[in-house]
Amino acid sequence: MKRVAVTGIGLVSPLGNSCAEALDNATAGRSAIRRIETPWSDRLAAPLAACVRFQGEEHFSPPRLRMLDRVSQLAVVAARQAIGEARVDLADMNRERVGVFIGTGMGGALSTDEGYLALYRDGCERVKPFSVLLGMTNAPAAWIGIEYDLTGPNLTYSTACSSAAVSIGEAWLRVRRGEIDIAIAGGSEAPLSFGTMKAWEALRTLASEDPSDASASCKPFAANRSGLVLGEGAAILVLEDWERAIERGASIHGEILGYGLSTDASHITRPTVAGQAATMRAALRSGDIAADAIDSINAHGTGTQANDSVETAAIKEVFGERAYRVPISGTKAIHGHLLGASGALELALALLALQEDVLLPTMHLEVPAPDCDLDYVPNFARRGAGARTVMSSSFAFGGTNAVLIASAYGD
Amino acid sequence: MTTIERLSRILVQRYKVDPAQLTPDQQLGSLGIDSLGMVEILFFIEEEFGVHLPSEGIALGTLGEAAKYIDELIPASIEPTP
Repeated sequence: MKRVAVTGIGLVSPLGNSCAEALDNATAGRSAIRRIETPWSDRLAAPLAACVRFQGEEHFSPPRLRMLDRVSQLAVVAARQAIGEARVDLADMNRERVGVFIGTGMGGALSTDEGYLALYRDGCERVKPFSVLLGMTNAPAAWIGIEYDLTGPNLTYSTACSSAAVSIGEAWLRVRRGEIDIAIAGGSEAPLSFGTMKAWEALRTLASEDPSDASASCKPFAANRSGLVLGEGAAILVLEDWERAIERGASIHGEILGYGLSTDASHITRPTVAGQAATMRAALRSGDIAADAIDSINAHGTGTQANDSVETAAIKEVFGERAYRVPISGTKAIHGHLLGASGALELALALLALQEDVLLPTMHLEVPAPDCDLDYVPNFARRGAGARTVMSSSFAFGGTNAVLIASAYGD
Repeated sequence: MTTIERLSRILVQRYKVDPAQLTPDQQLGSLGIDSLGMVEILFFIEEEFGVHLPSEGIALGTLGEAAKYIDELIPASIEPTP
């Protein structure tokens, strides 16, 4: 089996559109969650979201832009950034051995919403000519492949909130087995349409607005947590055969060490301790890693009642007494829930944090819930803890759980 | 504004085509617009001229021929239904 390096990271995220900016904001605990101002936001119970500063016009010519839903725009720009950072010359290699693995939960939700408005509200007889291309779930991966002429596997994973973690894990497996040399892997999500936000509201999973500070509305593991806040963005990693990366003198962020995948198979939304714990164990087993070797955790930590209690119990089940000493970061408190992109953003932040030897804070955690009694690194980052490995968890509606384990370069 | 001018405006504004290329005998298929772009142009023509184009079998040919084709459709499209 080959070792797998992370040689590039591209972020177009609520916390910033570069690794440095996103890590700086995550370390300082600056929340990107805001009240949104749209013609329909007053019809939302809590008009909150974590948005990306992004104008597609700055990145694409008009004819191409008309073919790209925002979800594809974000993905392509994040991929450009990751590939640029990796300094890998894809044009110069066998591109059958480069794959694209992208997760997205909602795909081209904005374009789909727009089409519905045209047809049902406005009574138009036609929708945009590229509606199919804009809305199809595999468009983000396809456009990345087209832009770089990558003819290896081009796969889209849609497992709701674990989509990006699954994408990275499946990409890792293929690079590890030597089937491909490089994988462009991550996730993208652009779910902030009225229809999508109303759908999430209807499920009663969205946070209510904090009356004193809207940006503090998402409170993972807190006694007063009330739900998640939707976010948008893309995070893409370049995974590369370790030896190849070393040989070409690549700058390496870290190494993917393990990937666990398993399914609750019990309820369409309610997570289970057994399912989450099984996935963490599967990740440890995949890389032959002892639980004691995990120095930190990037939690799924959505801020919902159901997840945070179950996740805490699952961590205790896997780590035993040591669970109380493993620092856990819940970064959705400040970047929101990017659904099918969240696993990639969180792994990226976790890796960047390891490189800087910082433990990212879980913000807005004044009083933890009684059953959330672990070390969540509340409200302030910690430096110099010496953590070298991280377990990054993503759990999903539908029950598909994915856990990634990574280490900073230097091991 | 003539039909050719209106068609040219679509090509310049939407596809950044150089206006100097847009003579009546210019083949629309030689402007560097791919097959999907041509599908989209039909959409813009319908929008601009208020005509309904058939789903298949449209060959726009040159800019001049396309304008003639559209001109022929316009009266039919605005004819009141009996």
